[in-house]
Amino acid sequence: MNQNVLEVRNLKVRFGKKVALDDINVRFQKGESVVIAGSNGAGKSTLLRCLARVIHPDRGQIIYAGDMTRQKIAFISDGLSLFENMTLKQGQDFHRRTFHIQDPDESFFQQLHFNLNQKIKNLSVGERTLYHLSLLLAQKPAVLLIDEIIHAVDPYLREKFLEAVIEAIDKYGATMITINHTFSEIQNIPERVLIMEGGRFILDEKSEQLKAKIKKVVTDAEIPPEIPFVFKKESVFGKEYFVYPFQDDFRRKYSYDFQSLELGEIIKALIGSEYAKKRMS
Amino acid sequence: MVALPAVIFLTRIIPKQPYAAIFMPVFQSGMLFWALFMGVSLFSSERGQKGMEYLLSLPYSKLQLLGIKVLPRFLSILFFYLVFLILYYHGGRDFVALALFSLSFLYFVLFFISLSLSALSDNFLVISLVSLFALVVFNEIFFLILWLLMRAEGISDYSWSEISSTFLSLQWEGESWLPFPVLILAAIFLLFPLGLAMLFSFRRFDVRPSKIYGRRYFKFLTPLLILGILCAALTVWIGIDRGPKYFYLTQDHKLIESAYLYTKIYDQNNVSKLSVHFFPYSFWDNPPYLYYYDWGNGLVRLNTATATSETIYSEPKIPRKRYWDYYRRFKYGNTLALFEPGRTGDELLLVQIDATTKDVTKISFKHDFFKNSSAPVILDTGIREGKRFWLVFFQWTANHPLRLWEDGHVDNLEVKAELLDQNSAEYANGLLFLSNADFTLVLKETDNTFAVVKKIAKGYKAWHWVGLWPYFSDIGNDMRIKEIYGQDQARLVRIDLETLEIEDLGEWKRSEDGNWSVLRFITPHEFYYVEENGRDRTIKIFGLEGRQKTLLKTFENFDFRQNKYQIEISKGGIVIQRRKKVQVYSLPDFQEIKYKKLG
Repeated sequence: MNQNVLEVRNLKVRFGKKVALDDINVRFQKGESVVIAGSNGAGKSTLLRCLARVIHPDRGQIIYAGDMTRQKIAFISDGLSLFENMTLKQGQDFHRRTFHIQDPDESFFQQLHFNLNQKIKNLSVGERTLYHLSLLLAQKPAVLLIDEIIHAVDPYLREKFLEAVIEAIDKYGATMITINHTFSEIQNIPERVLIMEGGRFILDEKSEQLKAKIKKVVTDAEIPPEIPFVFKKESVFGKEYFVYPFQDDFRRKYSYDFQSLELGEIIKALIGSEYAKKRMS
Repeated sequence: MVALPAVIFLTRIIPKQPYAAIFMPVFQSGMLFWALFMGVSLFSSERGQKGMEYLLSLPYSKLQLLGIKVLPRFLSILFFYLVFLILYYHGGRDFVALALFSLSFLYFVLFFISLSLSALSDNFLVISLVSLFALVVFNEIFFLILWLLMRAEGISDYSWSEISSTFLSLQWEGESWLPFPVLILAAIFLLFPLGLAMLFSFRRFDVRPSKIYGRRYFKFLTPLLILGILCAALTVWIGIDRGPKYFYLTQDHKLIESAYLYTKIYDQNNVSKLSVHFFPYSFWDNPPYLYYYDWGNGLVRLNTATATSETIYSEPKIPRKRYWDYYRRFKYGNTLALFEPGRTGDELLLVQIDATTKDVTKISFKHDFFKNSSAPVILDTGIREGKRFWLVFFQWTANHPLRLWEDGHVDNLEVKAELLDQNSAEYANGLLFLSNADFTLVLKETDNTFAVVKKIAKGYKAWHWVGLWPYFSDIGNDMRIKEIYGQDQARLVRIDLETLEIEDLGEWKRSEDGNWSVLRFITPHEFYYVEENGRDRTIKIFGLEGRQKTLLKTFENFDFRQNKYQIEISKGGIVIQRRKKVQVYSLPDFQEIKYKKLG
């Protein structure tokens, strides 16, 4: 049986008059890796900050599993928020002291070979991301919240980052909830995809099911109205239809080449469809 | 802990250094800046390091977080306040720019205001300016409450422009109608809304734009502030001392009741009420008239027979801060006298008012000595070689007497003695008594020179004139006194003014509750010793004459612990006030006098 690590009930957050989260309900399970996607301003970062308790919701509840303490929640914001006037050593000591980490997992930190006497603010964005992750992994997190950050990291460090995250999921059974727009390197990580728009979830699917449900058809002609599509993209090469929900019958009935898609492409299409709806309205 | 010995060392040496006069105001300014900085910078470190999200993701509740951030700041605020107190009590009182109350008030209020507002903006400068503005608003509200209630109660005639400057200067300490705890409590009630608004709104503090937090903060602040203002006003209203009533018995046994708003004159069957304030200590009792000084009004003559009062001399406006340079009034014969500043710094005016005709004459004296001198006191007056003279001593700033002549001439009189900086002077039987913190010198004049005839050791600290308001005391060559009395530690002593011998007259009693016995003298020739006895709860009144201390009357059932009694001895008799009960006894026969209308 799946075990909930956290549950969000009727969450509402406003930024003045703007509604950032509009009555959100969602559950996350132990060991699950989830990617949250959506257009800019959809409410992804706000949701993640609520889960990290950095934003206090105006309404609703976030319920953590009974044995979950705040020491077990790890959060990397897109701003890489740390006390950057501290040296790496001071930052590490402070973090361990504050999170009451008795038996820190230093394996990742040791791989980084940082000069501990330099100040955090002197690290590059990539180094800082990894340093921040090393602090969080030392606390053996049960929930790892990662805001959109790895796009700013070079490919070498990005790989290191992802390896460490995957190891944490395996080692501690951590639940990873990440916001990501750059899917080229994480295609196989998320088990579940949440798409947000206007402060609400518009899609919540397992990755494999989602891949099975969305196919792409490339053609110069219009496709028959019986084939539902979520997004149509026109270019000089022709028209691309993102068929959703795809049914196996379609292959028998129609002669189109229903192409399977990578997760990144699927999400791109879903976000694109939202932009299209906005244009229409 | 490491800094403490250094601080104690500094506080011992700094007040004694010549630069203390500059250091203390700079230190006080630094304290105020520190209070502001400690408040507004509550989150500036996190904001400066872009660490706010990290801070809020730490495993603390918001209240814990607030506690962790505020506590060290509050301790640092207390630390510097402690340093200031040590400096102040080691000699900083003369050097401070802001008095103890004023600094304490501004220091803590500024800290709490800036702390409360610190989360309202990310901009340090904006919060600093808003905090300073809020401090001004806070002060205005605070003083407005005090002022409105005082005006409503008729307790004070301060104008709105005077009120805050008065309270922020030393003068408030003399205003017994607003006790210190009441002021503190009222200020706390006004600070509470700021603290509570922060506490309530901070529970939901997050990384959203600060105006969202600000909206919530002001939603809490507005009703809390209204409540705080009401509580502060209620505190002041309850706490204002409406009325210590003072009683004075005239020589012809009229009882004068004096309160802030009115004066009542009782005879044995009737009572008359005047809407003037009678200052009971500053009088010349010359039935049916009582002469007194009314601040802001001038010299006033109260006719106790007709229950009317009139101002017989209005003084020119002297700035309040210079008031104490010229506060004494004198009486000799039928003449009332006082000093006024001249048009130039080297000019001093002696004003003489005929008590009957109200004629005023002013004599101008010019001398460089007047430029840096203050608090002139007439010690003696008389006629020599057909001219009137006044023997004058400048109480606080100079150490030798002058003789002023009615033709405007000024004689410097030499004092052959080593004196301390500040001395108070008294004069009797041709003897000048100069008292300071260490000793009293008795000097005698020969050819414009005063020479020491006796030095009395430090222990003698309270001669009979000490503590007596000397307004309108009779002054003049015709005043001959054979003796004076005083206190030497725990002994009652007498000085024979012929032989200057000091004689011990027995124990100077002190009640177990810390009240001290007192000496009262009515005329230069009548001395009374009022002895408090805590153990048997009595007050005994002794008459002093010659070497005799004679028990005249014992009053029983006094509760010294609550200090709820007053005893006034005048030429007419004794008035004892115990809570609301007033008893009057005539002197010298101690017959009780009943007043039908006296509630």
